[in-house]
Amino acid sequence: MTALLQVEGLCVSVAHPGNSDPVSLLRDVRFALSPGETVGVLGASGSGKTTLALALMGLLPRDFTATGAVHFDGHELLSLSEGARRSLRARRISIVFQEPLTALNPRQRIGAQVAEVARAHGERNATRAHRLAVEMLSRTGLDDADERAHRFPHEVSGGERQRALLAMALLLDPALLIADEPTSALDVTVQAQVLQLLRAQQRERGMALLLVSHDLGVIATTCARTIVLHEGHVIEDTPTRQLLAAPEQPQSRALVDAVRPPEPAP
Amino acid sequence: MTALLELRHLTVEYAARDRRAPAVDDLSLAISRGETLALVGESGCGKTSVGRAILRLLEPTAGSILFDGEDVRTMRGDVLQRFRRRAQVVFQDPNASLDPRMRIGEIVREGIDIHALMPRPKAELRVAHLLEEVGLPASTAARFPHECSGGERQRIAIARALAVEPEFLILDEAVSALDVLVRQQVLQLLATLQSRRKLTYLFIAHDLAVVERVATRVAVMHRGRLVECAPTRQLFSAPAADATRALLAAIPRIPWETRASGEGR
Amino acid sequence: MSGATTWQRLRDDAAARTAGAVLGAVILAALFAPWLAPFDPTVQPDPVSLRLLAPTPTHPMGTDAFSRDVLSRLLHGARISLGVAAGAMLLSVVLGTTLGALAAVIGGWVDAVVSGLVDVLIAMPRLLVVIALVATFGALSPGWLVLLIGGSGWLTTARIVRAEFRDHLQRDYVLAARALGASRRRIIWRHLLPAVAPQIGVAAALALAAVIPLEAALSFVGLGVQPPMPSWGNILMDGTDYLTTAWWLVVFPVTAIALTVGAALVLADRLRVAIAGGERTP
Repeated sequence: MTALLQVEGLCVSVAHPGNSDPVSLLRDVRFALSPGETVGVLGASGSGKTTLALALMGLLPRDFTATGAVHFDGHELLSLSEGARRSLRARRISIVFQEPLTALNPRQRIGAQVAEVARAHGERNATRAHRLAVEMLSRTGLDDADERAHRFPHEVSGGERQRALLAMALLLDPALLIADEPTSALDVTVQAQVLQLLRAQQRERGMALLLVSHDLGVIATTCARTIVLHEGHVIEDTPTRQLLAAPEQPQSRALVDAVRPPEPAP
Repeated sequence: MTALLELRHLTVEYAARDRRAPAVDDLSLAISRGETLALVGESGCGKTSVGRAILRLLEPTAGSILFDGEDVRTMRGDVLQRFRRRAQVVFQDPNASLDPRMRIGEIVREGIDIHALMPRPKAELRVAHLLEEVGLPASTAARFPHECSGGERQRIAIARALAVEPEFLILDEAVSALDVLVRQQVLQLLATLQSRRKLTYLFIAHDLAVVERVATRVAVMHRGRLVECAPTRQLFSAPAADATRALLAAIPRIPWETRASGEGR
Repeated sequence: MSGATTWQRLRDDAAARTAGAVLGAVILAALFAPWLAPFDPTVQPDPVSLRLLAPTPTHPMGTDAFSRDVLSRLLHGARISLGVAAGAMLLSVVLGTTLGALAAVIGGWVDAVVSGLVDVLIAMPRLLVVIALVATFGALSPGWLVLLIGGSGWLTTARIVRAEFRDHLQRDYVLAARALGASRRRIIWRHLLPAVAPQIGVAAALALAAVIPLEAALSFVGLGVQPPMPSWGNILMDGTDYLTTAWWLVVFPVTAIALTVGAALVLADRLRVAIAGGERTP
């Protein structure tokens, strides 16, 4: 089976103006992702999981250095020009972030922001772009999408904002969706709905999903395989069921124990 | 069993544009000494307003709040200041709850200073002890909040609350913003402190999975009303209200032993 | 990443440092004018032969129509102009901060009165109001100028401080202090003022930038500082009579005003950038 995404020896470091030595955030990260596969990236805060998501999207801040290779869909992402990368984003590879409020432009209506994605990738007709946006918003489960599309981000709930972000990410039917802590800022009930939506969309489209989270509960209900990151290293890459049953590393075990119910289920 | 805190018909209304929107609607609840009562519900259900009303950070529209038999709503002057020492709070977001321009030492000392509990050298020693009690080195006192991690900041917020020797602590989503590992450590710390200092907790949360580990009893709020209040075990095994069932359903179902139990948790 | 405070970020900003140095130099020049000025600014040594001299090594900025040394007059004028400006700025910032803070913290009728006053007064054009008042009461001494200009300039500061205070009052760290029993006074002095100090700094720099031209304009039309006492405004007024024959009488005072106002504006702008830098998420 050919991999959709293949990460080889990925290292990311950042140079702080004060320190002489650059700080390593990711060290020799390697894994592969097949088309349609769901993989979780599990790690405590500071393990490098968000850096990984940003590196795959080519969105690392300028003072970060990435080495190694990231093969995606016939391209080597690290050596790709910014323009070529931009044309891949949203079309082939998409991301949703944790905080739906800051990821949206506060001064632009939601529908317009979703339509913007279509227009940035060649849709010239404004009406058609808007219609596409509303359709996508309703497919991501936004009630009364026609009306919601005319609202500003602060006029809808956190769950609705996350649905709007998902609509933007899925509009052009990408082959890979990266979700970076997509539900950490949400209430548990809303989290459950968003995760359900994520699973349904993944199945329906047959796209690959890379779900980044510190919470194994979120990953275990969504991803067949889990990669555990610890201090920038991949310490485990295993089917999720196996991780739940028998984590190999002590750091993985801690993450598993953290979500285990207090006593054996009655 | 004597109630340390008793809420009677508590009602909090916000003046919305054209109407009065009730955030808390006729809520009655008692918390016994030494227990951990969890107050859970979706965001916007009014649980945070309950905590703030108890602490007199907002003015209820009606009802009474009896703390150790005295009505908090009518407290004035010295009586109110005494209450402030007995009831404390830890907020959700440790980024927002510590003044970014103050050193940790000053932050933890603030309650001691406000109530003039002891002279400065003694207070500094006390701050060092408090920091150690919450699992931080005494040297943390010299740092600023932005130099600490999220978990450390939440420990600092706990130390600040403990500085005035309270007996009642409101934990307003105190572990929700923390990563699962750090959350577990902070919950462990809170359990230790509770048994050592005989603390009573009001544990406000939206996540029943967290509550299951810490609460003696659970009160569920929905749209400003109390819909269920039961011992934790009972609430989890036989939820009575729809809102409770919805919250239970939202807990991620981790497929622990697939062959044995199938879909159930 | 956002570890440094607003003030540290400002200090690391090259443009802000340059603006600060310019402002500092002007202030020092004003303070030490009696020692720096080569001549007495009011003495007219020889109104016939030393009249309207172009810049020379003895008179680096030339002389005016009364044979007075322009450099000495500018240096002494800086004392008056900057003194009035600083006084007026201080008055407006203190007044604005106090009223804005009280409106936010006390709320209720205090807030209604302050906000109402600001809304009404802010609609009036300041220069016209000041000129109308001066026209009614006649030319003013520097002390009255400070009161008048400062007393009319607190509106924006009050508005900014009220909005910022209200924002911070809702934040958890202020709630935590209230739960600990902190008094209003303690919350204002320990938490809110330090938090809002950078914004007050922006307001102060903007106030300074607004007040210097205002004083100059008043003196220019003869309603402000009265000759022979020099101020940047009346030096400029004297100079305009000879605009075509003695350029130095106009160029140097205009440069002094522009440099000082420019430095204050740059400082305000960089401070605003430094504040915004701290609010970005790391």
